[in-house]
This record gives sequence, structure tokens and C-alpha cells, in this order.
Amino acid sequence: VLVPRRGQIRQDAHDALLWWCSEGGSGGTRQFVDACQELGLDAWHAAWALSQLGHVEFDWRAGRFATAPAVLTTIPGVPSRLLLCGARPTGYLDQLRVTADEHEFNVVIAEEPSHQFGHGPATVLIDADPADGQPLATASRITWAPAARRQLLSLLPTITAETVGETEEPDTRFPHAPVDPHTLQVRWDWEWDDGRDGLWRYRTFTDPRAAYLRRNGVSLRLAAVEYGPYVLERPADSDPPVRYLPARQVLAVDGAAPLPDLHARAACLCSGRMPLRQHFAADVYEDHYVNVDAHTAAQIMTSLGMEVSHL
Amino acid sequence: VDAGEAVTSVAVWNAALLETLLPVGGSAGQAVLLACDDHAVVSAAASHDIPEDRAVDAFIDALRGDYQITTPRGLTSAARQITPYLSQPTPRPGPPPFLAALCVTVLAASRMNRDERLSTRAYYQRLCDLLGIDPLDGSQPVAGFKDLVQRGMRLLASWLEHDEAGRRGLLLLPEQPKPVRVGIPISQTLLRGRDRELLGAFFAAHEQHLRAGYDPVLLLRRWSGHKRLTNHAQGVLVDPKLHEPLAAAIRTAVSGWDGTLTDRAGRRVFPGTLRLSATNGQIGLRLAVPSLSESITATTRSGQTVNLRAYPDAAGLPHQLLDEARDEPVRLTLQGRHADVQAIPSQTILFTLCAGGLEQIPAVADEPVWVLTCDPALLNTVPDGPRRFRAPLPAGWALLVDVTPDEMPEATRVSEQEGAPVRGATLAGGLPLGAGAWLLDHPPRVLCDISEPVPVIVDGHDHGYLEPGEPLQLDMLAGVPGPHFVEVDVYRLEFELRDRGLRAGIGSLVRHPQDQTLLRAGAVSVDSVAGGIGARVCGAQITGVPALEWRPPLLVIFNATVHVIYRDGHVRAFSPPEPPVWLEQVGLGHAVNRWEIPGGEDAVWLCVASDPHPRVLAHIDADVPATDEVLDVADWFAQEPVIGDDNARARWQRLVDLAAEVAEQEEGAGAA
Repeated sequence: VLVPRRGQIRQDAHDALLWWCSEGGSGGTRQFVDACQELGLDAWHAAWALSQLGHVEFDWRAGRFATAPAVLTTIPGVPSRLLLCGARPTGYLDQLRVTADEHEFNVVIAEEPSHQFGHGPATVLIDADPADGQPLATASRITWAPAARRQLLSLLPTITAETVGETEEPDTRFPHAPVDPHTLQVRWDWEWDDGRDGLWRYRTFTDPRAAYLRRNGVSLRLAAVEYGPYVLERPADSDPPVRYLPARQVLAVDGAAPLPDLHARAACLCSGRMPLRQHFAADVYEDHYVNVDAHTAAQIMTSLGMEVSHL
Repeated sequence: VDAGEAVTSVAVWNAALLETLLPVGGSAGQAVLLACDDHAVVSAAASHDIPEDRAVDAFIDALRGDYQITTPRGLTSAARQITPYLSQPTPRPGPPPFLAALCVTVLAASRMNRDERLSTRAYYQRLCDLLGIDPLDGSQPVAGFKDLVQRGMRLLASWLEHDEAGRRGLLLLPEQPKPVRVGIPISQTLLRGRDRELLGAFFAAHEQHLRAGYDPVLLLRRWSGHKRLTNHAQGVLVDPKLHEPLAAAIRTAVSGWDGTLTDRAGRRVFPGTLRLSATNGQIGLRLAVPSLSESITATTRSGQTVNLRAYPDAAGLPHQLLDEARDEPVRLTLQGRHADVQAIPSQTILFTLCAGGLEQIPAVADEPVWVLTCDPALLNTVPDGPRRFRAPLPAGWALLVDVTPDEMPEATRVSEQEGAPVRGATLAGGLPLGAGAWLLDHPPRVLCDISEPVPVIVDGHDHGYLEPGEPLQLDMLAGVPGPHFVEVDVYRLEFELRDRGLRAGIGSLVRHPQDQTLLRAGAVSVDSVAGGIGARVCGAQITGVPALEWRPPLLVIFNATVHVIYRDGHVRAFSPPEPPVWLEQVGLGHAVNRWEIPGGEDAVWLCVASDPHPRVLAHIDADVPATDEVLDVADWFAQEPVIGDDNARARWQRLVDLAAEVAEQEEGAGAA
């Protein structure tokens, strides 16, 4: 009995967090962390969820967050469902219902959004004829962006060490450890020389998750730690960090190599759902993004410099 | 009613003032005041198209005309209406006919100043000035006044309570007014002229919150300048019975606020915003004045002319003004107006990067700022080096780049004063919306460092004792909107629960995936990347690139197989798909009743193989090649109804006839 209740409490907390972000509009990340603490949520996980789902953007360096504008979009394979992303201020569902009624749109808006099993804010999937999407969005003063994932995918560059890294020598006074190229685990127990080529994680004052790629004796500071596994040269017998299951339309991502922000957002925009975590051992798991069509999966993998075999 | 009638008729003013000051439903069953001030008269006049600058004169003209007000007669005629009205059977159909006369007595009180709280003489002088009469000698400077305010105001209270059954509110009258007569109209005032002038600074500080509907009384109590209000207004501010009337009065006042402040000498000051251009070793100072709707000439203290421009345009300022700012703030005097513009506020000016460049901000918050200063202490903080912008400035001035909040003097940081906790007991936690408000379902809790159990009162109700070190959860207030008050021993805490915040800055962080440099930066402020290349991504919103080409798919709701005849003559059969597992998991699988016909843009005929209702739907008005597949389907659905216009039915019939003809030929060929 306790487990589902805890899930419901977490679900309510995620929904309240998004409500608060939407009513405030923007603020400092310090306030965001305080709000997460108040709601009993892990701030990193909550921010990851809000960012992936297209609700809130974070600028951790400047210490700011800002809610994203509300957007109505389509998802692949389920054309009768429109996904609502972005800000969710007070009474937004009621207002949508009123607008739909006033304009007599062929739309059904559920009383409650669909829960995320306590892992993120609930999903709003509106039962509608997609032909009504634009008029509904216009009447509700929200942005209509059909197939937003496709447009987002078209913008993603090929991720290479050069595009996401800048030459910078790390300050070796800070704690640092190499990343195992096989498992992608951070190996604080390895005694590698500082000058050795490979992927390194640093804990600095300004960034406790700093990542450096050392190649041919030159260090590149990566823009985000998530890029690391995708720019690291790995042994030929390593498992790929991302694989696609076409029959189930699932994009499976190694837990040690989470997708970079925009790639994760493109995957989430296929369903509005957080990835389902599949554990194989205590710290070994995959995140399964659902309802990802073959085209989306291929573009994500191509952008990450991976070979695509499912097409 | 035309303006001419309104000018001359007290009856029309009675009706207009009644709806302005005591509207039906606005404060039903709650305490109200007859808070007539200049704003109220202007609002009442506006309902009859009387211009703002004529409103008070028109009101007084109507009173003087109808009541034949002279120095000897005073308000006698109005007071004489009391007895006949009193004798009318209840409920009386209309308001007391002397309502407008009562209003003018309150209007006079509203014009009293900070130092005139109990000055009876000052009150009568203001009333006489309004009415255009001289005060009489003796104990009654205005004839008829005593009767009017003592009996008339009670009669108005009775009419509101009994005849109107409280639907316009219940008039709050002092039991023992002081002074005994003048105290009655004074008690009806909320804000005086002096208060409204001072409120300019309050409005400037909290305009966003006020416009977003935050409780104005709580905001005013938290405002650091509230001690400068008149003693009368300060008394009103802490009177719980007057909370709603005062909130309404402040909302009315802010709606008519012209953006000006009033200095200590009573002179109007238009706030200005400096913009700074700093490029190629040059610095340009420009001044924008949000309250200016037209260009106007202003002069500096030294007589130099500056042509201020209508907002949002800005006018260039000479650098020499910085010399003047060394000792005191620099103002420009507006020609032809008794008002100034604040040009340079102090010897330290803060700027932050906005969409249009560097723009002045009042205080530093979390992020580094640019600072134009001649403050030696601050200059010492950032010595000559890479953070000093190299540009010609008056001696002693420097432009400092990226000064962090901790490098700035305390006075220039965002003040914590207005949200400071009360010593002994404080509010913490919850989901704060700022400015003393919390999100409706997530109130704060009370923390207390008093070392012994102390009594707690929540919203006027006894809440037992608070033990030392134990926080007081206020969950019982969750979902109850409005102001709340918690008294812990001698400490009084106030906050508001709201379901709406400022919603400011939505969409203000964006990503630039097509910009090589900005891609690495992740989400950054939209103001700081005006030159970013390519598309901008904010959540699921993508701007800066052409919209995606997208056509809505063809959806159907049939629970049956559909044979689709396409434009090129091929045929495919589709059945309703099973809902995806992930959608089932979240309880939405059952609701998927619409499904897609692939290639719907080329589907000409939809033949629905439904057992009870087989039918043919025309989708596109086009002829299709008579392929074997097409004729087979036409033959199969030959007897079924066609949903479409006459033309569609004729086209389908041609296919059916052709199918029959082919069938006959095949039969004939078979027989041969």
C-alpha cells in the first residue's frame, strides 16, 4: 500500500512544482532547489524531468530558470492525441475546456492529466482531431507546433568533440577520475595518470559535474557531461549507449550515458512521457523512451554519431 | 443622461456616486465606507462623459445649484431632506437624496494633509473652499453641516443595512467620533491627497504585483515607506475591518496612477531610465521616461536644454551631467510643468544587459551588473585592469564591468527589508510567489525561536500553544485564498495565499542549437543573445526557422475494416489499430476511438465494411482509374449507400456500372 501512495505523493509534488514554476514564470535556481526541497523532490531529477518534457529551461551557470511557453503538438502514431507542453498555470485545463466548448471544437479534455508514476509532471494528452489543433491553440493563445519533435530533430547538429568541446586545461587540484570506456562508469578507484587520454570527470567549485575529454594530450572541456559518452572513442566490443527496439518503438538509453538535453526532449516529445527505467543491477539500468518512431530514433542516433541499423 | 444634465442635477450625481462608492455585490455584507475622494468623483463623472479635469467642478456646480449653497445657507437645504426621507415607508426605492452632500463632506476630509489629522478648523476651511463659501463665525462654520453628517450618515447606514439588506455593504461608522462632528466624514476617508502622492513610490515599487492582483493592503504594510503615510492612513492600514475597502481604494488609485513620484517638497518627479551604449571605447548616456507620451523640452540645473522624447524613445544626455551627479541626484526641469524628471539618481548607477543594450536597474540581485560610478570605495573594489571599460568619462568616473553582487555596497543590493522576518517568529517553507504571497495550496509554516510555549492565533481564531523549536504547520489554510494573519505571542505575521503569480519571464531562456558557440552554452537568457544564429528552442517552442510543413491526417471513427480507393487506382484495407501499450498504461487506451487512414490526402473513396451499416464515403472529388482492385470493391459495395453529393453518387455509380459490365463480359467469356 505504501509504494503507490509514495508514488502519488511524488506525482503531486512534481505537478505542484510545475504549477509553481508556471505561476512565477522565472526565477533563481536557488529558489528552484528550495522549492524541490520543500516538496521532497531531488532537484537534479526534477530539473531533468522538467527540461526533457519541454516545460522549463535551466541556465545553471547564471543560476536562472524560466518556464517555457505552452505549446500544443502532435505525437507519432497516435494522431488523435495532442500533447500539451510548457507552462501550466492555474486553471489551464478548465480554460482549454471552456475555449473548446465556446468554439465547438471536436475535443475531449480529460479531467485529470495522466500520471507519470511519480517521476515527473503528469502528461496532458488531449483527445482531438488534429485538424482542430491550430484553431484550438489560437483560441487558447498557446503555440501550435505540429510534430515539434521533427522540427527539433532537424536542428540537432552532429555531436563531435569539436562542436561540444572547448580547449581548456582542467585544474588538477580539484578531485577528478577517469570514465571507464567500456561501462561508462566514473572510476574513482582507478589510478590513471592525469595526462592520459580519455574521458575525465572533475568536481570543481563552479561545476560538480565537469567533463573533460583528453585526446592526443589536449583537453577539451565539454559543454555538458551528457556529451561525454558520445564523443569518447570506445573499444569495439563495447555495448552501444543507445539502441532502438523497432517492434516496441522504444529507444533504450544506457543509464550511464543519458541523452543530451535536446536529444532527450525530442524523444520525450514522441509521447510526453518520462522514460521508463529498467534496472539490470543496482546501478545498471536503461531508460526506455516510449512511442519513439523509427525516423526520430534514427535522427537522434545519427546526431550522436552512432550507426543506424534499424532502417 | 447627457453631460449637461449631470452637471446640474444632484439626483444624477447621487446615482453615479452610489454605483461608484457602494456598488451592489462588491462588498455585500461587509464593512464599507463612503470613501469619496477626487478619484471617486472622477470615476462617477466618467460614467456621464464628464472629462476628468471638469469632474469636481461639475459636482460642486450641481450641489451649489440644487441646494442654493451660500455662506449663510451652507448645507441647510441638504439637511432638510433628511426628515422627509426618514418618514418614507421602507424599503425606500432610492438612496438618500442628500447622498451627494454627504459625499462632499467626505471629499473635503480626503483632501486633508498629514498634519491635519484632528484639525477641525482645517477641515471646515477645506469644505468651505470646495463649496465656494466662507466659514461662519461660531460653533457651526457651515450651516446645516451638523445635522447632515450626524443624522444623515446614520440614515445612510440604516438604508444600506435594512432597505438594501446589506447588498451594497454595511456602512462603518465610529461609535464615538473625534472630533464629534468632523470626525464622522473624516472616519469615511481611507487615503488622503497626501497619501496618494506618496503612494506613487509604492506603486513604482510594486506595480507588477498590484497589476497581477496581489493583495494591495499586505503589500502596502510591507512597503518600507508606509511610515510616511498620514497617521490616519496608517491607522486604516492596520484596521482589519477596513481591509477590503482599503484594498479597493488602492486598486482604484493605482488604476489612475500616472507614473509620477512626489519628493519630500511635494514636487512631482517623473522617473527616468538610463540606457548606456558602450562600444569601441565610447560611452553614450540616453534617458527614457516611461511616463512621457509626447516630446518635451527640459533644462538642466546649469540651463542646458535637453529634448526629451516620447517613450519608448530616449534622449541623449551630456556627459557633463555626471559632474553634477557627484554631489546629489540630477534632475531635469520640464518646461511649462511644475515637475522634474529624474535623470541621474546617484553617484552609482547600475546597468544590466537587456534586449536593447545596457539598461538601468534599481538594485543588484543575483547576477553581475555594469556600474557607472564615482564612488571611491567602489572604484577601489575594481582597480584599473580588464574590468574597467576604457572610455572618456569625466574625471573620477569609471564604468566597471561585471561587478558581482558581493562586490557591491549593501545599499545597492536588492533589499531584504521588505521580506524580512519578524524577530522571534518568521515564515518559512511553502512555495513562495514573492512579495509576501505563497502559492494557494502550499502555505508557509511558522518558525519561532521563543524559548517557552507561546499562544498562537490564526486568522483571529485561537490555535493553542506553539512549543519551543516546533514549527507551526499552516496546512489548514491551504486552498484558502486571500490574506492570512498569524499571531505568535506578540509577533504578528501576515501573508497572502494566491493561485496566480507574476508569470514573468516565461520563455526568457532559450537554446541556439544551430549556433556553434551558443550550442555549448545550453539555455541562456534571451536578452543576452540578441545576435544568436539560427533557430531558438524554448521548451517545445521553436522560433527563428520556417514552420514545418504539416497536414492534418485523415482520421475516422469506424469500428470496422475500411477499404480505401486511392487516386492512382490502388486499394488498401485498414482495420482499427490496437491502442499502444504505453497509452493503456496511463489509462488512455480505451479512449482512442479515432484512427488514421494512411495516405489520406490521396484517398478518394472510403468503403466501410461495417456489418450493420456498410457504406461508401466520398472523400476527394476525383475520378480513379478502373483497375481490377477498384472494380472488385465497387462490385462488393454496389448496393450500399453512398455518403456524398449527387456528383459523388454519379461517379460511384459509373464505377459500379463498369464493374457490372466487366463482370458480364467475364461471364460471357467464361460461357463461350
